[in-house]
Amino acid sequence: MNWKHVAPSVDGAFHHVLPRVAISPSGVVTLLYYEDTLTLNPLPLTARYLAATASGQPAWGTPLTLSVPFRAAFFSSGGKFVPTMFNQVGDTFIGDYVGLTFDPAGNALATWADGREDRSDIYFKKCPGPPSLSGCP
Amino acid sequence: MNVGDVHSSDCDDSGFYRAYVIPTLAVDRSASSTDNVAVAWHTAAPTDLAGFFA
Repeated sequence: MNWKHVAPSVDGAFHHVLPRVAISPSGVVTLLYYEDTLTLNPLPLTARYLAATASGQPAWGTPLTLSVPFRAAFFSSGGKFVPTMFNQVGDTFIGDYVGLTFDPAGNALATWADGREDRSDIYFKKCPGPPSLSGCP
Repeated sequence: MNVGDVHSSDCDDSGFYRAYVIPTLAVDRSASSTDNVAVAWHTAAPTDLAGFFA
């Protein structure tokens, strides 16, 4: 595989952060990342899984949503900034990376930090292979 | 682990602040393995620990 120019995997409407790349046993390139709609939504964060459309092709399929939308922090009714995720230094922290790999059968295995319960949990999901199918979540 | 949708709420973490981030995972690729996956992550107070399920 030799990609010299690959278009962005998603459009620029929102921020897409903390990507993790993995390649399936059949050579399909995949990504796991957070989509951040910034302040446009009270639940701005979702974890998404994205696969190329075929082995060796620099074209992307439709992103699949792994998590329900969640927030890393919110403003309380008193106007106070309230972190809901990892809060060791008085600020919000959703992490430095997420995890994505494949099992020998070609199923994608994804793990990420998720704040859907207004706290920080680790979630794990298996996306049945091959990639780019709509079998996940 | 019987692979499926799981999360750290399934873990016995009584007494610990639930602040889990930065997960990583690995797959058992040995010939005898079927669906063996390990997931580890960072947590925090009262002491910094690494969580784990498999």
